Parts: sequence; structure tokens; C-alpha cells
Amino acid sequence: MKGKTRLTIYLRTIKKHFIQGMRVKKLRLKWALPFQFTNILLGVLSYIYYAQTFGAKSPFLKPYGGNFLAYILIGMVVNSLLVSTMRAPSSKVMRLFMSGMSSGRQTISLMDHIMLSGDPMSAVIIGQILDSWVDEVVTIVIYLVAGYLLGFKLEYNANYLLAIIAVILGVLASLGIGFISASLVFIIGPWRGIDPMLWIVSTLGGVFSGVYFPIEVIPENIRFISYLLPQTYVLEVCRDALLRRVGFFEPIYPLTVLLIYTIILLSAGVFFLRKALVFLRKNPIPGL
Amino acid sequence: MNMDPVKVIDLTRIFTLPTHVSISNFPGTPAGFLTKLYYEYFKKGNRITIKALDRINLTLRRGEILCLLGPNGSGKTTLLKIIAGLLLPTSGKVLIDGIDILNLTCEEIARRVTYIPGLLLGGAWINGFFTLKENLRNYAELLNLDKGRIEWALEITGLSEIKNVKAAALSSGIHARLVLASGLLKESGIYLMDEPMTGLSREIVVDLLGYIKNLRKAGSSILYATNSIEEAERIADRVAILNKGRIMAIGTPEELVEKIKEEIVEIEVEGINIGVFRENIERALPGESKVRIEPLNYTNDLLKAYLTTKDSRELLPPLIDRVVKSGGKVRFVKVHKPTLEEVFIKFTKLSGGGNERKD
Repeated sequence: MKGKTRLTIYLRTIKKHFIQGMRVKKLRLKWALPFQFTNILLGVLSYIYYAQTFGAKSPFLKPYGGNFLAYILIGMVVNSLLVSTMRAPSSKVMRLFMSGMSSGRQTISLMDHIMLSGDPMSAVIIGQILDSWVDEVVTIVIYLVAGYLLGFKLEYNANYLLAIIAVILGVLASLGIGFISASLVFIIGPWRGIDPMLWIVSTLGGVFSGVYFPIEVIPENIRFISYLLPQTYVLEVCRDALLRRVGFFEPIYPLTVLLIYTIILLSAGVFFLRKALVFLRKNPIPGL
Repeated sequence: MNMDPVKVIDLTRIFTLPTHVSISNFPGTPAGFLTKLYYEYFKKGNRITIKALDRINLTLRRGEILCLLGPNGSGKTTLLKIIAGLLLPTSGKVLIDGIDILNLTCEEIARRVTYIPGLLLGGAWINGFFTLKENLRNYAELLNLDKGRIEWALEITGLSEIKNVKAAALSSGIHARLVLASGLLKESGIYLMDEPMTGLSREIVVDLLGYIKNLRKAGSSILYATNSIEEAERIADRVAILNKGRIMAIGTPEELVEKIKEEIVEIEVEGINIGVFRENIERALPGESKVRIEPLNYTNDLLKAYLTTKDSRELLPPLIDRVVKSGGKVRFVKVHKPTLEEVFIKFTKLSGGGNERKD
């Protein structure tokens, strides 16, 4: 019964913050939507033309059917979702801290108001980042529609379920990284703007996880970095499932590693977030 | 030995007045205790430890308004944030309804205590693109408060007529009222009010102070932080003077006045110059007394002096005698107890100037 109540509070908190986020987003999108839509469309078009110009002849793409457009679209769509999930918690936490009012050394931020509500902070963060996910879903749809119009097609017998499982695990692992990153914001101070955890994982991910090119291109002596990143495994399973149309058991190794990453990172994220909140209550001006 | 457990019924949960305030049948019993409370934090940049609160002992009684009177930076907000559960004390205890707040979750504390910051600090949630009513609805949702009280809170803070105007189009005084309205969305046994009247016009302050008194009548306890002597004089049952993180004095305004055991003498003279008058006073006064002389006209032969002394009966006869012998005439003499403002200045000066506390 108690567990059920806690779950209810948790879900209610997520819903509440999601609705509030969407209300604010609605105000902004009334003006900004056409501009954002055009930006995304032009961005994806430039990648597609780039793929058509240079991509097709690479021997590294043979295992993926030799279609660079399909390769890069899957990479961009999945990476975009993972990176935004990683970034959202710390950026939302920074916003909650920075949208405060100060008088001398005293500040009461939105974070303080939220703490007064007693709602679980991880649920607050998930609720706050759900509207970012709405953005991401819209972006992904634009990517896929633009890609489809220019020749990107998936076969009917691709393993869509496996790809969805890999993406869900990847999103949860990224959420764990995001929670750890948000905890660091509590400790090092929101005004610094960058936290090392997120910077390392997202920056290295862009180069080493195989978003834009297969990791086989990377020299062997530094390729170990690719295997340390959870994004690498998500992308590998997604491409195997959608382009090579493998069954559930063939990518068992990357799937297992991804599952382990998810469990460890999500637990660590929640743990560090709790510790960071206690730290915050002992140090009124984080990072100063 | 077997003893029957004492059963305490929290009447605040049973009766609710139509004015949306809680009731308690135990006036005078403690609602909150603070014992030997310290709060320190390390400021990395300057490599110093700030002692924001030092040995705070305080009891908030049920159904009283306790004014926390202190200059800027004296530790008022830090103290209120600790009671609200936003900060953890370095050492010491905060008991609310007999329970250590360390054993309560933020939500459980929030159920017992309402924290109302003033405009200077409390308006972070106000979004200029939403109307006043929408802002209040968002805040109520954010903090799980009663949305059914929004109209009432808007009315009591005088915002009903402009509730559908966007916040960005309104003055800071209106925002201050909105912050106060947000604090009224919840019934609570204890209200922590942190300079809630900052930025409000006088007539609104008078109205709202009246409302706060009504909360007290209904049994709520209010810890009211302010640096305004006038507000304290208007509503305080007791006053705690806080400076440099320490409680310098606590008591009813009358008790505080008694504590400093001084009298203020106002004396107006004419026909002598300021130098002669000062010399007369210095000769008549005991060494530790304080003197301030103001000329009342341009020729400087009508003067008024304010003297602080332990015993006016010792001072006045020789002083009047000296003034008369110097050719002057005493026009007016008044002896009175110090005002709360004078008491406040006295106690804050006792702890020295400046507010930064370093160890």
C-alpha cells in the first residue's frame, strides 16, 4: 500500500512538471515553432546530401548494407535522443537554480520552492525533461520524414522491437548519466555552466560511439574508448536490428553490456542525486 | 511502573474556520523549539567558514506572533530556511510539534510549516507571460497546494480585480502581493514569514498585518522576520533581536524596554548657544550617558537635546540649574522609556558593527 502511494506521488509529480513545462513551451512555440522546424529540416538535409555525396563507397559500411544515408540517419536519431536525455537533467537543474531571486548572499530559487513541495527530485527532473523528449520526438519524426522523401527506407522485416528495447535501455542509461551530471551541478555550482561528467560522455560520444561513422575507422589503440561508452552499444544493436535485421540472440553481447550499464548508471544516478540534495541543504551557495 | 500514554489530539486537523485558518486549543504551548542551533558553511572562494547562526535558542508558542527583528545579513532568512527544511543545521535541533525536523521529510515539514518569503526573494516562480491567477495556479500545482483557495487568496491580497492581467505588465508591489497570496494557499499551524511586506504600499501593509493578526487569533503561530520596527511594533507579541547570527534579546516589547534600564530625556532650551548647552549637559550627566543636540532655529539659540540616562531624577535638577545660571530658559522637558527602535539599535550595537561572521 505504502509502495503504491509512493508510486502514485512519483507519477503525479512527473505529470505535474510535464504539464507545467508544456504550458511554458506553448508560450514559446507560438512564435518559435516555424523557425525551429526550418532549422531542423535544413540540418537534416545537409547531412543527407553529405551522405549521398561521400558515403556510398566506404568499405566500412558493407556490414550495414552499404547505405550511408540509413547508417547516418539511425546514428543521428538515436544519438540525438540519448544526448538530449543526458543533458536535460543538468540543464533543467541549472535553470531551477539560476531562476532565483537574490538579496545579498541569500537566494531563493525555483529549486527551493520545489524542495518545499517535498516531491521526489528524480521525479521532478523526469517531469521537467519530458517536454525535451517531446521536442526530440518531433525532431526524430522530421529526420525520418525528410530521410524517407530522399530515399531512406526500412525493410518490413527489420527487428523493430529489438531496436526499441535498445533505445529504451539507452535512454535509461543516459538518464542515469544525466542524474549524476545534475548531482555534480548541485556540488560544483550551477553558474559554472558545464559539468565534467556530461562533457566527457557527450563529447566523446560524438566521436567514438559510431554516430557518424563505424567505430572500425577509429585506430585500434584508442578504440577502447568506444567500448566504454553506452551509446556505442545502443547504436550497434539498433543498426543490427534495423539494417541487418538480426534476431534477438545475435546481438546478445552488446545488449547484455547495455543492460548492465543501465542498471549501474541509473542506480548511481539516483544515489548521487539524493546525496547531492543533502549536500545542498548543508551548503546554501553551491560552488562558492 | 505503567503509565498511560498521553494522547495529544491535533485540533488543527479537525476544525477549520471559514477564514481558512487553523485553530488550536492550546494557546501558549510550544509550536516550535530551536535549541543550540548552529549553522556554518565553508566559502571556498574566500577560504573562510561563515558562522551564519550561533547558539540560537528560541521557542515559538502556539498562537503568537514572534518577530525576528534584525538588520540585513543578521541570519533571519537562514534561520527560517532551516525551520522550513531547506537547510540542515550544522548542529542543534529544530523541533516542530515535538518532532525533530531531521526525522521529517520535506513534505512532512511542508505540511506543518508554511514558508512565505518576501518579494526580494520569493518571486522566482512568477512568469511574466502568465496572468496573476495562472501564476498562482501553477504555484499551487508545483507545491501541491489547495487550488480551491486561489480566488480567496487573490481577494485577501487585493488582487481580484487584476487577476487576469499578465504579471509582466504589473508593478513589483503587485508581485509582492502575489508572493504573499501564494503563502495563503495552505492552512498551517506555523507560518514563517520572511520580510513579506517588502515593496508593498502602506495601505496594503496595514491590511495584511491585520490579516496576520487574524491568523494568530485562530491559533496559528507566526515567526515574522523583518527589519522594520514599525511592523514589529504593530503585530509582535514578542520580539527576538537577531544580530550576527545571535539572539541578542527576546521578550515582549515592554520587557525589552525594561531590559535596557534607561530613560530618554528630551529637553528644549533657549537663550544659550550650543557650546554652553553641551558643557552644561556634560557637567550634569554621568559619564556613560549619550547626548544628541539639535538646533531648532537658524540663530541656534533654540536647542533641543536628547539624553539617554539611567536615572533622570539625578540628571534633571542639576542640569536645569546650570542652564538657568548660564542665562538660558528651559521651555520643555519630557522623560520617557526608550522606543523599540532605540532598544533595537542598542542591542545591535552591543554585538558590534558589520554583519559578516567569520571563524
